[in-house]
Amino acid sequence: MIALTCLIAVSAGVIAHHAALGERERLEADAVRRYGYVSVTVHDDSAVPPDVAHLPGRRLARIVPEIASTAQTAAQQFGLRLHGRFEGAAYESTEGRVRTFIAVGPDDPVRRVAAGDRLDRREFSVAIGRAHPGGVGDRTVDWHRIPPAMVVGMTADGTLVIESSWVDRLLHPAQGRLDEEEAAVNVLASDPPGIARTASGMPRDPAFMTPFVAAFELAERLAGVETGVHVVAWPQKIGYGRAAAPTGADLLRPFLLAVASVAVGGATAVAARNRERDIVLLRTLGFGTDFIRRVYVRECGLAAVGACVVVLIGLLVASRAGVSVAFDGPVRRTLVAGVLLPPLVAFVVLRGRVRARTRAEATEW
Amino acid sequence: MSDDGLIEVRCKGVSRRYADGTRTITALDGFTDTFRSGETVAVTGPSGSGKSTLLGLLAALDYADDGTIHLGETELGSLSTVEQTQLRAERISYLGSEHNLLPILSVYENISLALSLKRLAEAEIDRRIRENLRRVDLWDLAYRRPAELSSGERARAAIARALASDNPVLIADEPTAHLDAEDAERIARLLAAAASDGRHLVIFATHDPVVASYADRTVRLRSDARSPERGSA
Repeated sequence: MIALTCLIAVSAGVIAHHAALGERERLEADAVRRYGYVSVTVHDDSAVPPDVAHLPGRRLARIVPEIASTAQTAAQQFGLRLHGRFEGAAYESTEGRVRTFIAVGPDDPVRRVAAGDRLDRREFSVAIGRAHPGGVGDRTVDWHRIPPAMVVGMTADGTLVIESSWVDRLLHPAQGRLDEEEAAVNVLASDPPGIARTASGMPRDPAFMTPFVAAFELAERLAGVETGVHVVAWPQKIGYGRAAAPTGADLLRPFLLAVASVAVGGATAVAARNRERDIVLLRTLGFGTDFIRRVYVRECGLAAVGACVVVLIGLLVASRAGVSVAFDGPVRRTLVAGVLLPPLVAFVVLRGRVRARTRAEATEW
Repeated sequence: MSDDGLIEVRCKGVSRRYADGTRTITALDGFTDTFRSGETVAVTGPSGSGKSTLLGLLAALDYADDGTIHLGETELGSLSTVEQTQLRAERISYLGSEHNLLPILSVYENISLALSLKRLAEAEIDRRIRENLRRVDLWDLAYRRPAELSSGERARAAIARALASDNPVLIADEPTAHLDAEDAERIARLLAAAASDGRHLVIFATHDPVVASYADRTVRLRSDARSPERGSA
């Protein structure tokens, strides 16, 4: 039993690990397919309006239409259509650093479609964030290397899509979000495979115009002009998936082990209980203790091995499907019930048999 | 056991007591009797009179608290549990009121398993099984499992196994308890016939007077489990 339980534990861990990896890969593939995340920052050397620079830590809403039109023009050069939601720019001043944004209206059908079921659905204006170094007494930030990053995606019809949850975190410093510069550095450090450093060698065939390629070409076209674009790859969804997968696996392993142990133990206990009457019969026939013990151990061992095989199959199916539908409450509950049901049934049957036998023995007396 | 294969079972002052919480219950008190080969003996009495206890002691499944039980020259109380087990394999066939067959084996395999204790050749085992299944009219069902048989058929299969073992003593505890009248009489006839060759001793417990009537004599235990009343069929 100890060996079989250990085997179950190892198998559960392996299954959970690979299921989590599979889920992470699926999230990555889904994120790239759906959003093609890259981060696009726009550098703007426009002077900060003096009447807003001295207001730290608060979100401001100074609209500068010229900034919005500049970014839109640059994107349109590549045949990318910025869906009609750019309403202008807003400023945020934090600790002497000012960030300007292109505000996007909340009622954007493209954003709602692209948001899917894993993004924040809060009604909030999203925007492309820009870093503006400077400010009184502030250190100079080289925006090329450590810009605050936003997520820009492109739908199938070529419409740029902005992720709202990242913007929300940037615009609410009081909520204790991550330091966006540090987060940007971490993001910049990750580099998905296959991304060209320069877009000049990439073919112009529309089939190859992935979001990554479009963003790089946008950056090259805008480099050196007044409004520059710095592009890095920022697989936000991949980051979420990578963060969630180990946690999911860590949570899944002990659960699978507990369920498997109960199932194997319950099945073995029921088998052992069923064999007790047979043991009495073998004794009356004249079989010795050694023979009976060998038969008994073999029978219980067979029952345990059979239960292990069934449980392992169940783990493979349930854990993989369970990870895939981790956000689907009814399906997850059904899977949990399906895995837990056999040991529960075994327990109920065993308890009933013990009670019946006790009553029978009392009646004989 | 004598040289001619006949056997005698002598009980003298046999008592058995059980603890029931803080009190002691006497299941059998001072039983004395002698059984011999060729006899079919029915042990009768009301519930709680000690029938099952007596048969368990005679089958070397338990130890008496007082008195002695001799199976031939062997005093059962002096045997270890291992020796008792060996005795049952070689000389005593015991049938309970139910669950006399292993459910995962066919009738043929159940009897074969019991005969494996005899270390017989395969041909001899097969011969005995065929002969005794035909004797109880169950050969056609030899390869069925117990769950596929009626209660009467299962009882006959158990008797076939006991007959195939050819042990000198056959003890059956309420073998007709769950059978209808027709099956009960059929079993009773088989038990009586088992001792008809004069080499076997058959002792069975029953509360059915019709079944008891097939025995050569009746031993009636009283509810206070003292000296039995001896009667003849």
